[in-house]
Amino acid sequence: MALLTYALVLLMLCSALAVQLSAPRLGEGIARISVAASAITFALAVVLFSWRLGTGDTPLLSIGLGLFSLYVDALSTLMAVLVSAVGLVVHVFSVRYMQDDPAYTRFFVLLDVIIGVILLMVLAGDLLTLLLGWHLLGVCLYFLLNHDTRRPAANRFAFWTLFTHRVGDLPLLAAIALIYHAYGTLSLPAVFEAVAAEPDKATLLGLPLAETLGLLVLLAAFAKSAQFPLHTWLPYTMDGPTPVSALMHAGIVNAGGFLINRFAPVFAETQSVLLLAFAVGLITTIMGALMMLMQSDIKKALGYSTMGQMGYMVMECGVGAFSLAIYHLIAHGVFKATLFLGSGAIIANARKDPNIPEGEIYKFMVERKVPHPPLSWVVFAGITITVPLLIVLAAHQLVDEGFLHHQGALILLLFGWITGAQTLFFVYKIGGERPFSVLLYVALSFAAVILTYVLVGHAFDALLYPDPALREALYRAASVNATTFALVLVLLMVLISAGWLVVFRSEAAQQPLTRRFRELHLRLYALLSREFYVADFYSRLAEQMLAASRRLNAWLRWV
Amino acid sequence: MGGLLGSMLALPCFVLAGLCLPLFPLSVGVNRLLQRQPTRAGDRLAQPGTKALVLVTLPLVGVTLLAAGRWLAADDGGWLVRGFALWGGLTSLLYAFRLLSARDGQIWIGQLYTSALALVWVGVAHDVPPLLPALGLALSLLPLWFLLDGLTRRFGIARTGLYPGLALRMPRFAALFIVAVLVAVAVPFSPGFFAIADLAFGGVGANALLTLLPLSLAWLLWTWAGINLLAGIVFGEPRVDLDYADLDGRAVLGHAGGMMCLALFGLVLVERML
Repeated sequence: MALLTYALVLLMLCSALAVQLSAPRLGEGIARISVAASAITFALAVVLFSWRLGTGDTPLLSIGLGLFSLYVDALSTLMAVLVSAVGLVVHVFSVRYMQDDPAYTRFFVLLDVIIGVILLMVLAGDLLTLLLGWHLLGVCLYFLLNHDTRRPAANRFAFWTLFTHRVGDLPLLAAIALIYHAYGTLSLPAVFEAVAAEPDKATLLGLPLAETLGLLVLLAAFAKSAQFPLHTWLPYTMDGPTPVSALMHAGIVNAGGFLINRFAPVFAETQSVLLLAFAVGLITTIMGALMMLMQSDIKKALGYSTMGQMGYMVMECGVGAFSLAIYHLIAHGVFKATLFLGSGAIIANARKDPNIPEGEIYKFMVERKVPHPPLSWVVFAGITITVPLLIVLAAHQLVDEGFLHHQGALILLLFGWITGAQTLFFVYKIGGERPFSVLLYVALSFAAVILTYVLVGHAFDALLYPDPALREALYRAASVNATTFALVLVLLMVLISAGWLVVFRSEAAQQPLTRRFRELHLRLYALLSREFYVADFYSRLAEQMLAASRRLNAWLRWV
Repeated sequence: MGGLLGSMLALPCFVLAGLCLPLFPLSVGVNRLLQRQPTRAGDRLAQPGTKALVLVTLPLVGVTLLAAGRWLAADDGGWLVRGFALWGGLTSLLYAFRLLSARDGQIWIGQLYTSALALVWVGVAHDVPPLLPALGLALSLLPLWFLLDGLTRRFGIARTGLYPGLALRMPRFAALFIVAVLVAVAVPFSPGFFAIADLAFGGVGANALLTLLPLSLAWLLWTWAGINLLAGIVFGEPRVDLDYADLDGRAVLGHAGGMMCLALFGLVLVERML
């Protein structure tokens, strides 16, 4: 098994070397080497995952050095399957997509290297190897995004990406240094045992060690997973080739969720740091969703959509639903890779034929005709508010009767409810001839999604965190005072319901809120169109720093 | 030795070491030397080989002087070493910040050398043996030094922005240049990376903030500066009015072999560290 695991990591790196060496002889035929290596890697990952599933063992493999140990547990093998699957799809897609590109060989070399590096990162058995993979990931991505070396925009946004990733490397380095000092080991299983044995250990500054480590790990994850305000690199990096966008949005950006899960035993010993993950994830989700709505470019809209999804993933960790975050990142990876790889063809086809079927959506979206509401707004508002709530409650009740004890589950339930209600509101807004049929289809689809989500979420819980005590500890670490929580939850539900009622009423009266509060709406629109000035702020700050550096150098005569 | 007398005697040793493991403003000397232009024919100090030798030997001299200073100060020199560590951290940050606007290759290397080697002081204050980190950080600069010298010989000057787009005109050189810049800014598997890790792991036990803050910020700024260097030389639209000559196979093998040796040295550093 050790040989198989090391082969899994090394195969793509060897493929990169083989591609580079055989390029003069094979030309574009080098893609065959790369795709074959990618397919074998995927097969090896599946074998390793199945082996782990069958035996339940979690061996720590080593080659006798302090570095390069590999840890074969459920999380690492599952992530290896995801990474190698996305890698295979991207490889196969790139064979034709990148044809006639002058840097065809370089592209495949870098693609192979980055897959190898990600596999090293997810399978790392010691913290230094994890740091190596974490760090090299940003570097490889920089060169892939800079594929067209002539374009200043590609270079500029690749720099943003690398710099943000490097910002995320620093807290991880600090966390690892603190761990090494506190426990004298870098081996992951040994560190987790030590943290569990001494949960109350403090740092030199007197801060609780677990809490400090949790905070540092979160900061590292925020940068890699494009959490607000470290998100600017993600939506702007569309100058890279489409397969790179797919890889980035389906795989690389998930690294933050992986890292938080990797350190789950540390988070189980924390008191309040997961609240930060919840807050940052929530802000990122809202920001990403809002900014996605402002985009006219399909790839940039997908970029902001990823940002919102990553926010949701981090938020799931923030409420203690760690395994759900892994399911989310896998599901998101699959659909986002599909969307990115299909976006080019959709743009090309839409130029010839918009292909929007005639009907309610066409009238609403293209002709901008707002039909009369199909039902009394009171009835529809009642359906919108109650049906999704019943569906999410029933789905949870069916799978886990004790879910009401977990604050995190209730928060996710709240979000499920809001999402369902939003979808039903859209049905009301577009009107149509057969509103009840559409309503029924939407409700059934929603029920199917929620039920799958809950079922698979529980299966992932059993797979990734088979120890119920650890699961409970994670939920506990993410909890707040029960009374406060209940009050806030009820208040939120009342506020949201009232909000829906106001929106329905204004829509029914043909007086949308955007018209009534026009001034505020325009201001918000302007703010959103400049994306809250975050990117502008960073650009200005960078310019100021460079100017200050030049002045200082001139003053000190460059010596 | 030890006591007040020992500390007083250690002070000049540390100041002299501050010339080699540069502390601002003592760092002016080494930076002037690395930027030196030939004043007459056969000016040996201005030769690239001599400067490369200086890059490697100065840290060794600095570490020896440091050891002598520490022996003289014995257990009573803690305050002195901590003071020098603070000085080292500030020097490193100062030069890392200045590095952001450096466009000339020799200035760039000189400022990175100063920023990197000043960090050794941070480790010394926390009992991290300085020899291997100092060597690791200094050796990491050598590949870039020789490639920048190659640019000077080809184009008359090694400076960003003058001849961009080498990735398209000199792909072999550009590939090696990229790796050399990455090695210089302490990306894994360069010895610089493991030297940073060594200093961080060793020093964090004594003072987490004073160790990690200068190390992290300097490392971050090096990356930014490294990207600036690449953006002005490797990337961009190439000029059509220049003659380009890429490296031949032997030169590529030589440079690549040297970098592989550095990676192996990095692994030695790790094994010693853990």
